[in-house]
Amino acid sequence: MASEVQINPALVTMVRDYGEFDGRGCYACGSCTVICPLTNNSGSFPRRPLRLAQVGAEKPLNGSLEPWLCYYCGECSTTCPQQTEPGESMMTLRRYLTAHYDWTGLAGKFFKSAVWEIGALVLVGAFVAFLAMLFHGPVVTDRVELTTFAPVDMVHHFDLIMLLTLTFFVFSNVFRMWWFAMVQGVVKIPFLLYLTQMPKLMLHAVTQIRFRECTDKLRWIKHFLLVSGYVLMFALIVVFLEWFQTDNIYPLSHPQRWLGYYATAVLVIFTIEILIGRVKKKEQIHKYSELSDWLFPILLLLTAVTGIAVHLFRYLGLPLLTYYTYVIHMSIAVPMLVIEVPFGKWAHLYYRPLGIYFHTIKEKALQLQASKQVVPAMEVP
Amino acid sequence: MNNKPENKKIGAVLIVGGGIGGMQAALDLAESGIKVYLAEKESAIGGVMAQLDKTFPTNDCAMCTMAPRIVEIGRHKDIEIITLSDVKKVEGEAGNFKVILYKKARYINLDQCTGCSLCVEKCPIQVDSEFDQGIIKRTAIYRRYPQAVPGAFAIDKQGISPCRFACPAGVNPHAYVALIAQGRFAEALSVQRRENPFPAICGRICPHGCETECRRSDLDQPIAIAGLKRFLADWELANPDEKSSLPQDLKTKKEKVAIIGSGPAGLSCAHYLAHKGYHITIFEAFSVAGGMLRVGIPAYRLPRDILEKEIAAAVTDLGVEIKLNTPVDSLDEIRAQGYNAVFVAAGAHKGLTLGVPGENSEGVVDAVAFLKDVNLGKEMKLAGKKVVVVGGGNTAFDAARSSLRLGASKVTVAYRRSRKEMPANPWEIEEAEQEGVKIQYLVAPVEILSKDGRVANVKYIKMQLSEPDGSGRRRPVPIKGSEFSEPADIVIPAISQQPDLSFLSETSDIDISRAGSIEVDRVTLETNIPGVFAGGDAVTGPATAIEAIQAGKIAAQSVDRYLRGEGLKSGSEKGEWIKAEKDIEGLPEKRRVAMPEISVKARRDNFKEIQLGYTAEQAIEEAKRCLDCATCCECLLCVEACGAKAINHGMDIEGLVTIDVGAIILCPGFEAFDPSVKPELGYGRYPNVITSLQFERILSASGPFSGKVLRPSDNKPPKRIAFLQCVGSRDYERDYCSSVCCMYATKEAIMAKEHVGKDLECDIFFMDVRAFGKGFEQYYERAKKEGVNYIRCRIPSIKEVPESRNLAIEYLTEDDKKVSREYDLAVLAVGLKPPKGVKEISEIFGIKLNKFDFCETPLFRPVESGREGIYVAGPFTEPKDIPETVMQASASASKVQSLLKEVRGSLTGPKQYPPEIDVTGQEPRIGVFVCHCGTNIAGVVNVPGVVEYAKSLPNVVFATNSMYTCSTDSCENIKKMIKEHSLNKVVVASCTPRTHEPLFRSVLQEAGLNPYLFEMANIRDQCSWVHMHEPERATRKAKDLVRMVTAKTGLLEPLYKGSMPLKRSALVLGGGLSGMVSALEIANQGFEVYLVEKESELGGITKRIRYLVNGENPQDEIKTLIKQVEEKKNIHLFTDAKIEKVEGSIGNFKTTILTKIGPSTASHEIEHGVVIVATGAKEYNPKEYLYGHDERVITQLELEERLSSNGKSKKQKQQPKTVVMIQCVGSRDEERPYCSRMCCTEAIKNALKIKENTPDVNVYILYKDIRTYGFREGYYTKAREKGVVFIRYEDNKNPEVSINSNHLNVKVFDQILGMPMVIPADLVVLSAGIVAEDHNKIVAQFLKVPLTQDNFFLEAHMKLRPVDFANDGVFLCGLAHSSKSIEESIIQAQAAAGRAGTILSKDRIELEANISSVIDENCDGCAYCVDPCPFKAITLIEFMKEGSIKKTVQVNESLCKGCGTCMATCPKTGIIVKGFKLGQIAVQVEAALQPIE
Repeated sequence: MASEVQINPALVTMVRDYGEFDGRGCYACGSCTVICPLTNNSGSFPRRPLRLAQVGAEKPLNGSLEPWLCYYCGECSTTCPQQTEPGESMMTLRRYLTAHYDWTGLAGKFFKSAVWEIGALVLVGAFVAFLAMLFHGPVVTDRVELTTFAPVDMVHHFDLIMLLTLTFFVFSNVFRMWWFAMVQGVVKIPFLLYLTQMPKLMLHAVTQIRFRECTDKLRWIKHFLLVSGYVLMFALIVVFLEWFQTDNIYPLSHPQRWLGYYATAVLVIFTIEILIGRVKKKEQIHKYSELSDWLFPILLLLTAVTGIAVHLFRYLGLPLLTYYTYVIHMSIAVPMLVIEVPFGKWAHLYYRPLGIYFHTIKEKALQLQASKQVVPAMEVP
Repeated sequence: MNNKPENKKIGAVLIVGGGIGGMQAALDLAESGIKVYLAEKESAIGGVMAQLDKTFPTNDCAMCTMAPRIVEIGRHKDIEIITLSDVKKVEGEAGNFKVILYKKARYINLDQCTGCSLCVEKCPIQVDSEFDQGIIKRTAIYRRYPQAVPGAFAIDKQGISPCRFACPAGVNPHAYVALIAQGRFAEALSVQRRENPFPAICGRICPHGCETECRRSDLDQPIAIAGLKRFLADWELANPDEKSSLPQDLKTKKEKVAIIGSGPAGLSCAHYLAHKGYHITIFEAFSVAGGMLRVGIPAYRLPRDILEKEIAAAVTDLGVEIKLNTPVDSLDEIRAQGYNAVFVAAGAHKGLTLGVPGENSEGVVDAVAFLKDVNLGKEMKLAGKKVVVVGGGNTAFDAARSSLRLGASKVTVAYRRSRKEMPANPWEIEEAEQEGVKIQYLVAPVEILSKDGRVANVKYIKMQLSEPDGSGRRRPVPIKGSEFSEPADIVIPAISQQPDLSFLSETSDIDISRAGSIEVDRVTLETNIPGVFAGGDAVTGPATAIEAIQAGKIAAQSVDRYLRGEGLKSGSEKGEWIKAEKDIEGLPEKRRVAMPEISVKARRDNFKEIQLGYTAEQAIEEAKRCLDCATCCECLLCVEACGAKAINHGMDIEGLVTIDVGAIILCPGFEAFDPSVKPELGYGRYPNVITSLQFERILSASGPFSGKVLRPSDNKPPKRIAFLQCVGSRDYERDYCSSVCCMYATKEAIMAKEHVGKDLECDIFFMDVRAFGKGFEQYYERAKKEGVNYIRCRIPSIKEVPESRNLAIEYLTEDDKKVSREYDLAVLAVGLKPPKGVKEISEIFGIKLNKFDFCETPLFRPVESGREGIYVAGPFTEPKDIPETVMQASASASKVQSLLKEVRGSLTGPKQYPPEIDVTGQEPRIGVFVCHCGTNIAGVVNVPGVVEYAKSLPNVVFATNSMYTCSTDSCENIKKMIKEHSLNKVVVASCTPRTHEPLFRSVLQEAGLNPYLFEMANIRDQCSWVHMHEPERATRKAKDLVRMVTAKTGLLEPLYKGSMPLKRSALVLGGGLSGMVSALEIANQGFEVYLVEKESELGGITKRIRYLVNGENPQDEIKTLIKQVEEKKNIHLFTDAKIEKVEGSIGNFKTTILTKIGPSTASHEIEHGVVIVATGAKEYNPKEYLYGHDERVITQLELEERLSSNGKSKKQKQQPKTVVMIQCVGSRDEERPYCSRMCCTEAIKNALKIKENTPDVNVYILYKDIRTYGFREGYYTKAREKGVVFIRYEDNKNPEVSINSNHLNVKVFDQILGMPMVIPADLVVLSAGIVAEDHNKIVAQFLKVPLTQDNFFLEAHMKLRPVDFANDGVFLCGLAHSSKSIEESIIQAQAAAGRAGTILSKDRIELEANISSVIDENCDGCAYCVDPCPFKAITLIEFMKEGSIKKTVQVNESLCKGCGTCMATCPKTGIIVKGFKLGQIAVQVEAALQPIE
């Protein structure tokens, strides 16, 4: 028997600060979970996590991983006999959990307040611009020499510093996620499981394969392509910047060109697709849009577009325009990464595979526990 | 009843809807002296209840409980049922309405139809049975259900089928196609022949406009009507034995008629005239008969032998003489030969010329002449010739295809327009092309070029299409300079033809038009010369054979009328036809059966018939494709079958009926939700997904499988059934609970297990089990015990397993595990929607609807529609169950009784009978009437044999038989025979006395005999029906039955119904809401009321209700009520009072009341006719959850008090932050296993009040099931929206309330999360149930009425008599009956008053005649009979006789029901039941034992 849960009646109000939750009054009929193509018996959702929030079971909610198992196909919302939008409520829970994992409290502030979020983005952007103003190299005007204007090694170092900072925040938050879900949970987890299940983490992080089980397969492909473009670009500029950012104009067959083009193309196409969807509100998943839902694709799109502009101006041999655009590009890309990766919607990129990973471990642990309990009976010859 | 002066009240009521609600209101009002019009939209009353199997919670059969009521209504002299009707208009005001009803025709005469159902056997049409919810079919002539009232059949007509509509001759393809589909070819043929004597011909050459119009052509392909018609003719030729016999009245008339021309018009006219008995001679100029059919149509389309055989069968075999080679030169000559009338049908045999140069060259021959030569066998030399046919009609193609067959090397059809405009039948064009005919479009010959006088070339000009001309086709215009020429040997102009009437115009003054045709009257076909008629092509110019046949038919009629000297036009207009428009949406496609034909190769060089015709199997298959557009096909076979001559297909399609009434009651019922709008549930796609109403029919013994539970896909019994609740209820579109589904699903599951066996698994998927009614909770518990499995999950979708057609259902277990299970059958618990056409109803009656389109009624006036004089009842106002509907109907009746009290009895009255003949001392003279009942009895029992046998029985002076003894003429005959033979006793051997005894008794009364000198022998239900395969033994048994009954009849004595005067006043026990409402209602009806209240003040428990869930304040209403009661003159109020003694029975009670006046008491004795028990109930005083130990634990009523008290107490007590409510305190537990019905709504009401006052307060409601039935559901939704948290707990896991360092904690185990949770509470509110008053036992003893186990009063019948007691004259209402809402209490209180009014409105109480009677000399007062009497009608009395005390018993005649228990217990024949005396039974037994012969 599980231990008693102290009810916090204010919980649902806290959750509601993160977006749409329980619009028309759920009566816990279970339709949403029955129709969900992803739910299974060890990770039952959406009803269970939503109910945790509704009744005020705070601790179990904070440790719940189910919101990360959901890819929001929207079936639950279209099926709900009371139109309570369980899909969007799950989205809200993901925001709530992201904020809850974040020890700095910034994520919560950003999700709940547009002033905070946009303010932070502007601030970081201004800071980048300020740095560029201070530290940029000589401005060559007779030809385009971006590497002179923005010395690659300097930018690269800046990138690496940023990477380290981000990693720190991400890891500390992930630690908290682990703590709430795995340590404070009711099951004891054998350490070995963390190792044996590691491939699962990799698989889901790279492929988002679970998404494929949703009713609309196309959405998984779109999402996968977007992620591939994003990760590729991230790797190119953070890890391989010196190779990527060069004033040489390579032939089209050169990987630097086509990798870059591929990444920017999918980023532009699919962010625009997302934005159109959110404007039209035709699909269930796009009916509700919080600021965080808007900012992430917008920033990605702007980064990609300014990146293209930099490339174009360099190609056309317009030095000044190239340099200015580059500064703008950096003033968008950097805040996007700094704000959104640890504290914003971007965080789902690691919380989701981690959620699946932790959940699988928990599931296995439970199975082990159950099998241990019946072992004596089975050992009788 | 017309022309009543304004504002004068009318003592009649219109009740709309003949369901159980309408029936209740009708009976209540008719019994209280109001004339009732009961308008029902279907063909019979009964509503949905008639479709149900059993009823919960008693498992009584719905039909069995309601059938006596249906019969009573059907027989009630003051109730007029208006079936198939809709109200169209309502004028006037309360007391005086004028209502206009639209009444659809029944096509069956109600008085004549005996309901024998012989017509059904003849009807070829099968449509989905509405009553059986489409699981099986019914015929177009139908009775809604076997016990239907009116019992007469009805015909379902949807207009005229498009095929029939299209036929120029009015042939009825629908009828013969329907008969072919059933393999009834002979009948099909005779139906076909009614309008067309030439099926073989028309089946081949008719252009069949019927097929073009066939509705099926909008779906896939039209029915092959022509092919089917041809099949019939071919079938007849192949089966000469089946040939229908010739009419018998041939040549019975002396008049002679001459017909000129033996074409289709002439032949048709000859056929019909021959039928009428005239002598006919046809004059034919050619050497062969048949006209154009013979000389115009090539043999490959119409073989010669077929034509000849048909002419023989339809014409010459009837004695018609055809004079071949006999051209007529003048009309006068004919008349001179002694012909009384002439029909000119000379056809149109003159081909038109092209009008181009070179037309007279050799090798140019017009198509008519060409075809004539070909068809008459003239040798033609066409081998190797190039033939050009000019024209685009059928004749052109006949000429072209004939040329090809005669060896022409190239045949070209030249047509001046495009293919689209071509008048020839498309199949002709296609076949011609297949055979090799070339078609040139958009060309016209301008010159025929000849060489040596013979055709050599045709010069054409190209055409183009311009604007449409008068015929709607685009006019061709030549293109200048586009001339070209092509070689040709033969040119056949086939432009058109016209009549050649030179033989007439020269010798008579008959009017000929400029177009060369005969001028006639369009309707009668008479020419300007009297006695001379004309028709066919000679009148119309070239047209189709079927048009000519129609002309012949009309001419025959006109000739007949002419010869009989009648007006030619009398009745010749056929009634207006309305084309049926069948809805084809969603119907499955099925291609037509291909007509077998010979190949192109095998046909192009000969004149063999191309099409081979259908086989019988093919014809049946093809005919089965028919959609039955008009439903009834008017084959009229039912008319032939009906022995009672009750069927009239010519009844007016519509009729407006105007009635004047003083009031209106609307009980239009509800419409079941159609689950096909939720495609994910698969209803309509998967055969094994059915609705609950369909399942009711499947369960019903009278249902499609006779009570066997079978699933539709394979008619096999299911092993697992899933019941899906809330289909069409409790969703965002319909945020209300349908109130009945949980219980009917429970019942269906129990019954299914009973039918199939214990192993049947029944899973009910639900959200909350709403077992809120009286006895429901116990029923639900019983279902669980019997193994019905309840699974708390709403099912979003169903998937079919393809091979097995099983249904896979995914669901969540309560501990959140997802499971998939397969079921054989899924039953959707469909919710209740407002009735169809509710918007119209609201407009016509001027009443308001709520947001779900149910009728809106004020909470305190729950039967009022908002328009004065119009009352409402049943699910029309809110989804509800049968007893609630019945109560609301009686409540409406009460309102009408008050409104029309002054005119009560003005339109009703007892039936007047002649004075009774005294038969005392007479020898028995018995008349026996034996019924055939169509073939119901006579088909098995030898009825004449029974009659003969009856004549041989002692005392029988007369015996006879009749087709239907219950029919009006037979009843008249009984009266006549009574007089003629001085009969003094009557026996009818027919069906059941249950339905027919009252009818025959009244026949006896009308003949002046005492109605009890009558007996029935049931030789149908008990004999012919059960022994239908043993006619001989059945006949013997019928004789036995007649002998037994006749023997008893000999000893029958006249009996008389007694009656007693009654006290027209009521005693109402209880001065709460129900008591006051009831008292006021009865007082308003105009009777005296004694209202007794134990407290010093009126108001009861309602005084503690501070506000209602809808926001209203009940205290205002209560105050008004109290004031009204106190001021009402005919209400006598006794407060601080109690009952001392109650004596007497219905009509005459005597009650002693004690009242407290200060320290002393006063005694009052009152006399009254009825009693109403309204003694109320009280709130449970909880012992649980620290109630009484901690002041922070209170009940809902206490919370309500706090929430409504103004400010003062708010200051005293700190505002709680978290309130926890606990439901089912003192309800649904072992001690009180019932649901208190209102606590859920009360808790939600108070929770909403808290949220309204202080939104920040957290409210938790811990419950077992939320039972917010009906529109209360909306408040549940609202509460959830406002943030009230609902947590369910299991029966064995009750919440725990504890105090921890002065903090209140409520621990509850959440079932879904599987977690025990602790809620810190500042206030715990207990929803205490309703418990019965302790004094109920005493009241029950006084009134001799029963109590339930829970000490509430027990009504006479849970469904149909919810306010009555078994003990007549005593009624109940309000909480004394069971827990209920204010609204429901008011309804029941009004209902009790309505029921009371049916008694109080009478002057005397009529008593039964067949009741117990004490034989003083035999009774010694042993009192054995006193206790067994179930009606407490017998009392032991002592009296003085010759100085000593003697004992005997006395029968209270108003209580006795004549059951006979007393007679059975009496050892000394001291008490008997009149009409069932021992002697009477003894002779019956002796007769039974007596051997026959």
